[in-house]
Amino acid sequence: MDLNQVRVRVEHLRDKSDFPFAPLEGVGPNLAGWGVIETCLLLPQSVAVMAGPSACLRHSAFMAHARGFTDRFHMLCLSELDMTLGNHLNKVEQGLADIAAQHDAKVIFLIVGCPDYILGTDFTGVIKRLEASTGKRIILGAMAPITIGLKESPFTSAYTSFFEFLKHEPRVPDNGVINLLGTFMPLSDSGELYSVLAAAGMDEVVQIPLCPDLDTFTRMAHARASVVLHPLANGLSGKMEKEMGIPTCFAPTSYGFSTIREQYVKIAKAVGSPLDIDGLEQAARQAAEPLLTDLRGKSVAVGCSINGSSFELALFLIECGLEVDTIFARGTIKPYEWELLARLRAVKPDILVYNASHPALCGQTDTFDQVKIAYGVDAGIFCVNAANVPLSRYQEQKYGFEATLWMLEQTHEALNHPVSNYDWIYGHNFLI
Amino acid sequence: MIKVAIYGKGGIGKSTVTSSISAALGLEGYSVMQLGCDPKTDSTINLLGGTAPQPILQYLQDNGRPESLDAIVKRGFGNVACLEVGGPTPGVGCFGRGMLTAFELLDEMGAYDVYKPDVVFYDILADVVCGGIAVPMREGFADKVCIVTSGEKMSLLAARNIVLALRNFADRNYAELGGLILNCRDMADEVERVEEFAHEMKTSIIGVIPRDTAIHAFEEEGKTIVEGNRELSTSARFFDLARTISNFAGQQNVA
Repeated sequence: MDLNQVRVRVEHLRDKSDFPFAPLEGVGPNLAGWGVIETCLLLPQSVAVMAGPSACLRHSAFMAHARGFTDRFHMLCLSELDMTLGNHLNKVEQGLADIAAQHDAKVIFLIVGCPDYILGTDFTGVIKRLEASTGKRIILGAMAPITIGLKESPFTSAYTSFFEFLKHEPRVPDNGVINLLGTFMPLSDSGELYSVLAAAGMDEVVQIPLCPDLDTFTRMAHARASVVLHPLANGLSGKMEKEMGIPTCFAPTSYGFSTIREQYVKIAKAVGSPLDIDGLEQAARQAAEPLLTDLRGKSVAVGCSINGSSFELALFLIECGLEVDTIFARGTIKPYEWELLARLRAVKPDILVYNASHPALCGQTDTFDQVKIAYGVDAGIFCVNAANVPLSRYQEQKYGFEATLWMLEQTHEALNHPVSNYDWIYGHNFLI
Repeated sequence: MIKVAIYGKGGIGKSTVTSSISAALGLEGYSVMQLGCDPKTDSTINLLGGTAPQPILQYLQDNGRPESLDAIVKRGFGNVACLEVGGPTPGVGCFGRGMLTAFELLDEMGAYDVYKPDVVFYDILADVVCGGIAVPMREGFADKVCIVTSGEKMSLLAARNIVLALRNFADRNYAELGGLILNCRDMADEVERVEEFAHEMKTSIIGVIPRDTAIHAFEEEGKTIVEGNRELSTSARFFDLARTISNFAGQQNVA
């Protein structure tokens, strides 16, 4: 197989069209992703009902069960004839009414699939009647991958739908409250960001996965600002800024000291107050130095399933003297990553960027035998001789300068006590 | 802003009527947007000298999401902003789905904020045969539905079907019925027949367009009759309809 079909030198990757697109994709090892159901169920006191053909529902069902949402996920299997004739509206109404009677949840997500998206089924009447009869909020969402490329992803839409629970909340700005958006696992306890924000007067940090109930969730409406740690939340934060006047900034998880400083500057601007980070940066730089010493010169691959941007991490590792020669990406290079790509192009134009879901890459490992460290489980699949450092969103969530140190500590841990990538993937139920 | 969906039996003259009202409103100084919802993309050609703008769906297919709405909008007579949804190759695909995609695109790109129309027309291809064709009736799209009909039996049957669809959707905050537009076919007692139907449907005739060969003559030149000769009595009927529709904005429950 000609690997040139699968890869492009970073100096030539200037636009989405330059990326070796795969019209026929293999099963993309984009592990550690989150789906629509998991996103919906971040909202406290909610259950999800997915309605559609059983073959569409089962994937989400497996995922929901693997993530432990067994009691909060329901499937309503519908026939082709029901959907074509519009008769399924009655079944959906009856099914949701039954589920509403069984749960004390305050919110029911009704998630439909591609068929209803294509048919343009209108659930307005069903939802209106159900809300009146059950007293619960019904939120319609779609797990419709057919829209990929034309619309925001289904799970971004689901996250954005949380705005429905904030928009009517009378906003009383509280300078002590700040929102951290885009986290699935909350930031680690006693994290750096908490202390930085607390020092600037923000000691109430609202993160959706930590909200025990909707009342706590609605505290977000009173926040001084929102900090978005993952692009997933940009839709929600944008609506909160536009319609509620809550300042927002996009400051994704990063690993490079200069990038982290830039993120803190953005946060400071959003909250309207300087943040004291000089000491943290200095300490982190000192602590990082010995951790970097024996990593310098090692061959590195960075995958796209890490928490943060693979391009940003690669940039930092190169600045530190590591030999990043491989990056795995998918077609969904995020808008903010193009600037990182430009910087990467300037410092190491010969890095090869592979399309991790290109069928031609399936089973290819020889090419990556020289790689000593593989960041991201997707990189680990191809780099079989490397120490695997997942940096997953399922692990501890670090932010700020401590994220750099954590990443370096994880790297040493992986080098000293290697864990099979295979075991890691199965141990975390990443394969459905 | 008032948004009006024009429905009616196929071939009854919806595009002719809609374009002529748009032209009249444009001459009266209103900002008008007309969105043709028919794969044939012929709704707005008589506002554009016989040509059509690039259909929205075809643009999406060829180029992806447009950076600016200007890529899919052409200004026609009376400065009417003309758009065409476009649609699938005849016999394949799903037009209703395509229409919803186009509507969502316009909404997401803030078309109504950008062009700030006083009046928006959705010129719909036919009867309400499926959920997709009912999209323009939905909350957030049209405020009013007007039905173009003649006195012919099949035309009135189609009109009845549309009215029933609207009433069937009463719990969904769909558009209200704005009334009937009688596009005459020169039947005996045609006005009386349609008046009787309107009474039965608890609505009214908001305009009567006489059969006039001048309409067809101007269409051969790529014009509406309003553009061709605004002094004609038939043109005056369109100006009357334009005033009626512009008054919708201040009304509720017209039907």
